Parts: sequence; structure tokens; C-alpha cells
Amino acid sequence: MTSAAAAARRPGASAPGRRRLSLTGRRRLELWLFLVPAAVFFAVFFVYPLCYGVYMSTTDFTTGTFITGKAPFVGADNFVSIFQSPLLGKAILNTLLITVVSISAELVIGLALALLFAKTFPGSRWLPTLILLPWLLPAVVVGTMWKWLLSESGAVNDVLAALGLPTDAWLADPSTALWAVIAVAIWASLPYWSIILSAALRQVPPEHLEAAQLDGAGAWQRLRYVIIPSIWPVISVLVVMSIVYTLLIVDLVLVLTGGGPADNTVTLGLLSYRNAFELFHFGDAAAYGMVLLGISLVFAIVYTWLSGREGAERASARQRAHRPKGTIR
Amino acid sequence: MAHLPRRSLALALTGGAATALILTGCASGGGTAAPSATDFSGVSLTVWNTIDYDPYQSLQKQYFEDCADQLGVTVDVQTITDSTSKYLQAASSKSFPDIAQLSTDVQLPLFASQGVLADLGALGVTTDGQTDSVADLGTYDGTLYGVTTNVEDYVLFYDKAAFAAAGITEPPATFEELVADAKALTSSGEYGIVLPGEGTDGAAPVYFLPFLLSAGGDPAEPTSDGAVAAVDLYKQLFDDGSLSKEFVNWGWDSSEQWTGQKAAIQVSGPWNLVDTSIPFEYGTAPIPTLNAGEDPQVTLLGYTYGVAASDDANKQAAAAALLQCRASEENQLETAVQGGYIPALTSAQESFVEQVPAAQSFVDAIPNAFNAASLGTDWNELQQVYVAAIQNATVNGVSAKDALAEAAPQG
Repeated sequence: MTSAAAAARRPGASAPGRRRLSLTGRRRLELWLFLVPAAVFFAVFFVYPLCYGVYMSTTDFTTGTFITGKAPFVGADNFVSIFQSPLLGKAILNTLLITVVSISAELVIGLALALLFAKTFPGSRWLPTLILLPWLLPAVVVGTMWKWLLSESGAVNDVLAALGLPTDAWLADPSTALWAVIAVAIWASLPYWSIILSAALRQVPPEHLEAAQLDGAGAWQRLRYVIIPSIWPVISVLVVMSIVYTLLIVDLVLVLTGGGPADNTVTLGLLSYRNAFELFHFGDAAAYGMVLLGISLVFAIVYTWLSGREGAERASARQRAHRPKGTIR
Repeated sequence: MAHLPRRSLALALTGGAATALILTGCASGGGTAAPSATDFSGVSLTVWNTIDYDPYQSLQKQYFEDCADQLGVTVDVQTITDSTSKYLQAASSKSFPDIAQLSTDVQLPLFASQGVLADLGALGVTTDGQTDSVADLGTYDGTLYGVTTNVEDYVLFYDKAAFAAAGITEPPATFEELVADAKALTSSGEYGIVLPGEGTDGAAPVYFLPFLLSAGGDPAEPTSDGAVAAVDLYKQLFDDGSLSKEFVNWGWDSSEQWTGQKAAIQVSGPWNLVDTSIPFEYGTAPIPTLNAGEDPQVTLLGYTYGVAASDDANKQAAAAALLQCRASEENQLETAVQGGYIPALTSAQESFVEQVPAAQSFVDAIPNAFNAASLGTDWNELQQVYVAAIQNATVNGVSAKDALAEAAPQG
């Protein structure tokens, strides 16, 4: 049925001088109206803050701006300023190191825990719940707690000393501070990974595992060729979300080391924080934010590209699987 | 608390006639509330305090509410945290509180320079009874914007028993003596000294500045000889093992190392004077100087109350009157004794020392003290410069001179 025919049958729709919408037009309008709330929400809470961040990064935005509303446009000066800072390179390196190492460790250990929770053993019912607790703690609490645990007279050193292992002031030593921060970041995020991956493992078809086992696949081969491909969409989303979350790391570093000792644990997020809330250079802080945004975008683009390629490969595989046997092109 | 003393009334009378009338209503009460000559009925004021712990918090609320009763105004006393952000938001939305407690080194200059605060001199408020160094804390560019009620400066605290055990009879008076004493006091379970070295909570630069000043340095010049001598002092203490390598993780909480007897000497503020939980006998001494016989100099910070600039003259007058009442000698002394702050009024300082003799070192240092607000907004950046230099010189073993040169802004 054409839209013109549908419109012609509408009673009372032919009032002179009134523009009529075709059925397609009305449906399109309805769709747009349904989209309006989401579009407004997106515009107000995502686009506007983002644009405001870009605007701030190009202005001399100081404390006085809050009061006078005046922020002179300075073009790329803020970016020039932060790229001249000797700390920027160190901050980018630290941020990437924290992100890559912690996410790699979280993936491996989280998957191992999820596989453990998939088995039945004494305590297997309540252990997943218990292990979730660290994730529920605010980062400030986690930081404060670990700052004490990792101190020279803290519990970690007590245990190490009891085992005859070397002790240290882990957060004060330039050679260990960053690794201590990474370890705490892993500890804080691990429950999240293990719980999500546990849920994903429940979606792995048992018949696939049984078939693989019957075919003689060992535990490693079942993991490699059955389990991981089955939960790969969940893993990829987790990785991307964690990358973005970890790139923004501020609170944990702030509480644990404050970026020290001697700026050995500074991150991009921390430099942004310092400029905004210690130096009140909001323009520079926004410029650091834009650098972070750029790095996040690179990861997002890579993820989108990989997802697209993977989707295309799967579609192609499905097509091959459903093609009648013997069909040759 | 809580009545405006007659001395304050006499001081206030030097101001405008309107203020005198206001204060007559408040101050006639050595107990009796005289009829208010200025009509504050219906005036409602909001007060924001920024110190969020007791007894300070409760005392401030009590002072303001009692004074409001005397003046016949309504007052809503709130305690805020993350104060600079809250004040900025309030100023941008034209909802700045009628009375705002402000830090003297950062917040008062910031809001005074932007026209957010009222000129208290025009409202009849004076700084009579305060030394020049204290009076300066409430001024910006020669105009009085804040009624300072309490101040803080910094001295050495030392464990008397640890000193006796190490055979030290006098507290160190020079950097050299401090290094030697700290080394002698260091044992397997205790460091000679604790100092904050962490860069985010503001303690490290505040405690460092007295050493820089007492070495003859200019805080505005990060590469001055005094700054180099002060950073080198930290470096020597660190290299000797007299200062824990963990000091780079400690801010205001560094004091816990001293109260927990893990360090024999600390630099700290007057709040330790009223800390009854300290389990040992301690003494206080002035900050050591680089050379013997020189006068030490410390930083002076304060808590000051500003009044929001407004077109409502009656409201401003009521706020000024309320502040005068709250800033009474009696209140200042009570806050000092209970909360561990130095009163702003010289007469209250004397009474405080009578009650807490260990406060003498703090009071003695006030007339010659340095007001960090004189550094303006540069102070924010300088704080990071000094902390970066201290950490680089100690943890990375860089020379004090190179560490300061590296940390100082280029150009």
C-alpha cells in the first residue's frame, strides 16, 4: 500500500488549506518524536559538557572566570603550555603502563577466578559475593587502606618479613611506587571482572564443551577454542570499558602517592586535577582532558574497527556454514 | 562565649555611626540585651564555616547563634567541605553566603580581588588589638576584607624523654644542630624527625616555608640561597636516615608519627598544644635558623570571616556586627584553648599563654611572621615547585640547587 492511497482513505483528512502528512511522513515524525528525549539527554549530558571542555581548553579559564564569566580566548596556548611541560611524557607513559598492565592482569586473573567460581567446591556459593566487596569500596577508601598496608610498618611488610622476603616502603620508593599503584588498581577492579566473566561463562553452551571433550580436547584447548570465543563479545566490551575507566585514573593515585615520589606516578588525570584544583589553571586542566579524550578515542576507534571486522568475518562464516553442500562458485 | 565585650564596642565606635548604633545593641550586654538602636529585625544571614571538625565546628555555630540572638537576626550556620569549589560556585551563581570563613592565603585574596567581598573598613570594622602581621591577614590591596579570629604558625615539637636519652639538653637552634640532633635521636624504632613531603594536601610547603624563611630565603624566589639551604636541610636529614623515606607519602598526617613516638621531633601547628592524647612530655622551640644568632621566621596563616558585597546595606551592617560579636576576645580564647589555635587579638594571646605556657613559642613568632597571601596566586605554583624540589633532592639524590632549578618555572 502506498502512502498516498492510505492518506486518501482517512476520513476528514482533506480539510482545505491544511498540509497533510503521508503515512511514511507520520511514521517518520513519530520515530523522531520518540528519539527526542534520548537526543535531548545526549545533547545536555554528553555533547554540551564535551563542547564546554573543548571551549575551556582554548581559553584562559581561571577562578575569576567563575565570577566574571570572562575567559579570554587563547587558541592553542594551553596545549602549547602542557606539551612544553616535562611531566606530560611521563604522565602519558605512566597512564598507558597502568592501563595496559592492569587490564592485562585483570583479564587473566579475572578469567581464572571466573573459571574457579564455575566449579563447585566448599564456599563456591558465597565466595563470588565476598570477592565483590572490594569493588563496592570507594577508591578513596581503597587508597587509604592500601596506603597503610603498603607502608614501611604495614601488614604487607609484616607478611613479607615473616616469609623471609625483602621489605620496602613500597609507595615511597621510586622503583616500586608505580607498580604498587598498579597492584592496588588490579585489586580494586578484579571483582568486577570476575563477576562479569562468571556471568558470561554461564552462557557458554555446555554441549559445545562436551563435544570438545568427546573430541579429546584438553582443558587448555577447551578454553582456547570454545570458552574464549564464546565469551569474546563480553571480554571485548569489558576491555574497552576498563581502558577508558583506567585511563582516567586519578583518585587512587591521589590518595596513594599524590603523583610522587618525585612525580614517578603522575598520570594524565592527576595532572588535570592538579591544574584544576591546586593551581586553578582550568584551561590547562581541560587541555589535559582533551589529550585523554584523544587517547580514549584512539582505543574506541580501534575497538570499533576490530568489532566491525569481526562481525563481517562471523557473517561470512555463517554464510559459508549455511551454503548447501556441493555448491561451488 | 558570647557577648561582645566593651573593649570591642569602643573599637567599633571608631567606625561609622551606623555601625556604632548596631554595636550598641549587641555590646550593651554584659548580660542584658538592650533595645537595638538599629533595626535588624527580619534580617536573615547565612554563615559558611569551612572547618569541619569539633570542637571548632560546634563552637563556631554556638558563637554565631548566640550573637544572632543578641542582635535580633536570624542566622543559618553551615559547615561546608571542598570550600574553594563551593565558594566559586556560589559566587558564579550570585549566592555567596552573607558571611564566609576564608583561608587567608588563597581564598581571601581570590574573592576580594573579584569584588565578591565587602569593604569591612567602610562598615566600621577595625583591626585594633592585633599585631600588624595578624591584621594583614584580613586585608587585600590595603583594604580590610576579613575579620580574623584565629591564626596558626609553626614551631618545633620535641619528645623530652628522647632528648634526655640521647643526651641532648637544648632543642636545636640552627640547621646544623638540627641535623646532628636528629641523627643522634634516630634509632631502630624511631626516626630523629618527621616532616611532611607529600604534594597534594598543602602541608609540605606550609611546613617547609619556615625553614626557607629562617635561612633568609625569599619564598617568591625558588632558586634563592635560602631556598637551597632549606631543601639541602631536608636532603641531609633524608640521607642521614633521620627522616623516613616515607615522608614523601605524608601530609598533615605526618604528625601521627610524632604522637605515635616513631619520630622525636616534628614541626607542627598549635593544635598539638591542646591534644591531651599525646602520651609523653614534650617541649616546643622556635624553628632553627641557618646561622646561629639569627631570628627565625615562620609562615602565618589565619581563619578570617568575610562579608559578601551586597546592595543591602542593612544586611551588610548586620553581618559586620555579627562578626564583631563572634570575634570577641572571650570567643577567641575559648577556641584557642579548646581547639588549639592562636587567638588573633594580642590580649587573648597573652591569656592563652597563661593557660597554655607551651604556646609561648607560637606567640613570640607572630610579629615577625610571613603572610603567604603576599605571594598572591603565585603561591599555588610555588607550593608545587618546592614540593617537587624536596622530593627530587631526597628521593632521586639530586643536589638541592639543581632540584630547585629543575622545578622552578622557566622564563
